[in-house]
Order: sequence, then C-alpha cells, then structure tokens
Amino acid sequence: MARVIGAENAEAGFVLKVENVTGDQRPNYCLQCAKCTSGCPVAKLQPEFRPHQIVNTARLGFAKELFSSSNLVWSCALCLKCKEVCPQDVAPSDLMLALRNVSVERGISTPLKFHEVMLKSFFRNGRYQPIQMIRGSDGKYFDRTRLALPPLTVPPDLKTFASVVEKILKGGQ
Amino acid sequence: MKLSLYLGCVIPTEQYAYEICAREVLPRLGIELYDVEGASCCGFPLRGVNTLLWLYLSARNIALMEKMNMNSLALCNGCHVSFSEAKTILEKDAQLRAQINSLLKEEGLEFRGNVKIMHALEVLYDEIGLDKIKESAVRPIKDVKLAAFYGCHAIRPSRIKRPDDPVNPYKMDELIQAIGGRTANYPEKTECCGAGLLAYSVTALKMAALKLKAIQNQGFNGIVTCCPYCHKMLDAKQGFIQYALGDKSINMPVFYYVQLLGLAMGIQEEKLGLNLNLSPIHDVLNVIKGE
Repeated sequence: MARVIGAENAEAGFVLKVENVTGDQRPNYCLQCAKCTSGCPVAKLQPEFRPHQIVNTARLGFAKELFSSSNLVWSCALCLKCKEVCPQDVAPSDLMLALRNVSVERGISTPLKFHEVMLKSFFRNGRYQPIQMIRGSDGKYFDRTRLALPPLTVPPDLKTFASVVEKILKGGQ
Repeated sequence: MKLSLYLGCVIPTEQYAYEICAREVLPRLGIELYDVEGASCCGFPLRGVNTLLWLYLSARNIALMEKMNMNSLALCNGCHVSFSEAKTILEKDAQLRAQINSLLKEEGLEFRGNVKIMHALEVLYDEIGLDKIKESAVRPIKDVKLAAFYGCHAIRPSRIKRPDDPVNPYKMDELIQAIGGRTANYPEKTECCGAGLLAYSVTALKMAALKLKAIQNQGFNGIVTCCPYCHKMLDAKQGFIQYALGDKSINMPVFYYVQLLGLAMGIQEEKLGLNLNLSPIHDVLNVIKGE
C-alpha cells in the first residue's frame, strides 16, 4: 500500500539549506539508480532506511518526513560505500551528515542525547569520554595508570578550548 | 624516522592494547614516537552535530602536529579520514580556512596544511617496508589462516587518497604474510563493522555479527584489525553480541596487526596488551606460538 505525501508538505528552499552545509552532497544530481541502497549495510537490516529515497525526499523538500521518523537520518553508519559507488557523485552519506546538522540546528536532539554526554566530557579532558576502567580477559581491571601508560595529554587551556567549542555550537563565527 | 603520535579518543581512554603494542613495536622498527601534546578529539563523532565544530577540532589537532615539525601517525581509521577530509576541504576553501584560523587564534594555533598524516598501514607498508618486517619476524607466526579486516575508513572515500585500495585492499594481507601468516580474500573484506552506530543501535551488533559468522564459516582462524573501532566491535563486543543476539556459535579470535607483528618479533605477550583482547584468543595464540 503506497503512502502519498502531498506537495503542500514540501518546505521551500530546504534542499538549498542542506546543500549549504560543508560537504560533498549533491542531491540534485541523483538519478535514482539505487546503487547506494543496493550496497548499504544498514538498508539490508533496516528496510525502511533507503539512501536513494532519502536523497529524493530531501530534494523535494519534505523535511518533516525526514525528521519525524525517529532516528532515520541517524541510522547511517557512515561506511561511505554509497559515496564510493554513486555514478553521479551525490554522496548520500554526506547528505545524511548535512541532514543531521540541520535537524540539530532545529532543536531536534541526537539519539540518547549523545552529544550532550560527549560535550560534558570534552570540557573535562578534550575527549568524548573519560578514561575507562576496562576488564581484561583474566577478570582484572585496568586503566592508563595500571597499565603504566603516560598520562593523557589534554588541551593545555581547557577553559579557552571549551569557550571556542561553545561559541561554534551557538552558531558563532 | 620521527613521527608524532596522535591517538584520538577511544585508544587512549579504552582501547589501550593498541597504544601499548604501538609504543612497544614501532620504535624497534626505527620509528621514534612523540606524543602530540595538547591533543583533543578529532571531531569525527560530532560531524553530524555541527560541521564547523568538526572542522575546528580536526584543524586544531593538525595545527598541533604542524608545530612538531615531523610527519604524524594517526592510529585510528576514523581520525585518519577525518584529518584527510578536513585538510582537503580547508586547502580548497580559503574563506572557510580563514574562518577556522580566526577561531584557532584563541588557542594560539594556526592551520597551514603542511603536515603529512599517515595511517598505520602506510607506516608499516610504505615507510618501514615488507623486507624489514620479514627480517624482524624472527619467530614467524605459523599455521593460521587470518582474515585481514581493513575497516571502511582505511579504504574509502577513494576520491581522496586513502591508505589502501577501495575494492581490493592488499597492504594488511601482505603484512600478515610477511610475518608468516596465511591470508585469503573473502566477500566481507571491505564491509563495515557497524561501530558508527554502536552508541544507539542494535543494527550495529547485527552488522558485526554477520561479519564474525561469515568469517568463521569460511574457515579462518582469526581476524586482524588496524582500527580501534573495528577491534572494539569484533573483539570487545563479541561476548555482548553473543548475548544480545542469542547466538553462542560465534567464536573468533581478534588481534590488532601490530600485536601479531610484536609476537613474530619475539616480544612477550604482556608487552603487547594481549591480556586486554576479550575475544577467545587463547587457543589460536598457542598455535601461533608453536605450543
């Protein structure tokens, strides 16, 4: 049973917004040959994720459609097989990244709010997670100190680093 | 040769084995490693959140490497492709480069784009070379058929120079042969491990499971990795994959290439972080050691 989306749902200029994000995406060059979807490892396991369909949906401006299905644009593994195989250099993977940028800009959070978790850690050690205590195969636990590894190098001026990161996130130039 | 060592996030905070074996093995092959002081995340995991932030983070680390006046080794596939793409973009777009540099000024840094950032496969194959590696393998690993698992970002996107070929990568295969191992091609060789989705998807586990089972069914004794994310998915998460997908048949030893290289050079297991591999390496390790 086909689902029909009326043209009144299209957002004028959406494809321009998406093209404006830095990256190799060229949705207007897509021929719908579906070579991307044929090789996509995620499409094999999640049939609703079809890169060529997402490219067309973006080109036609159906932003609501793209951002309403939970995590659709976050389902791409960024394996870049689509970018490699596309005969038109559309780069669906780059389009996915651009759509993610636009969705975050519009206030839609990331899955499990991972970017908030990552940024909290950034401001402490410049990395997206703190030093982990991991379990070895013998059941013992290890971190850098226990493994006699040198201390983790971090941005020397964390305050300035954090302020630049925050400035960029707030749309600063 | 002198190389600055850039570790990214997951290696120095979780995948310690890769750092341990790299610091142990590479100097013995003539590579002096110097840590990139003041390093931060390369930004790749945040590329979907804000592209300018990603560019900034990659550019700041490249700027730190440039200050050290030597080529660099980025040990993670993801970091390596991040730097390669960032450099390509900033070399072509003068306006964007000016914007990034004005942000970098606040940390007293400047991006010039004049440092060569290498991948482990390039350092081992192109710089050190197969002959030297063969020579150093005084205890070649024997009687094991290994599947070289390159990971996506060591071979794609081919429009920018990647460490190996996108359709028929060969460097890790030849490096494995140089230390005595047998390799073979297999259909899943250029597939994705799924790590890009790990934080939020069961699909990631299924993707890794498909690789593990396919490789196992083709009679390989082990998998060899060169990326900490591929290694994390196939090795550290193997137990969890068995549990989450209810499949106890998965049983694949997974090693970093540099760990096997170290063994072939006669370095003790303890110095190669092998106690941190969580996949069932014990039996294959005994075969490799000839016991």
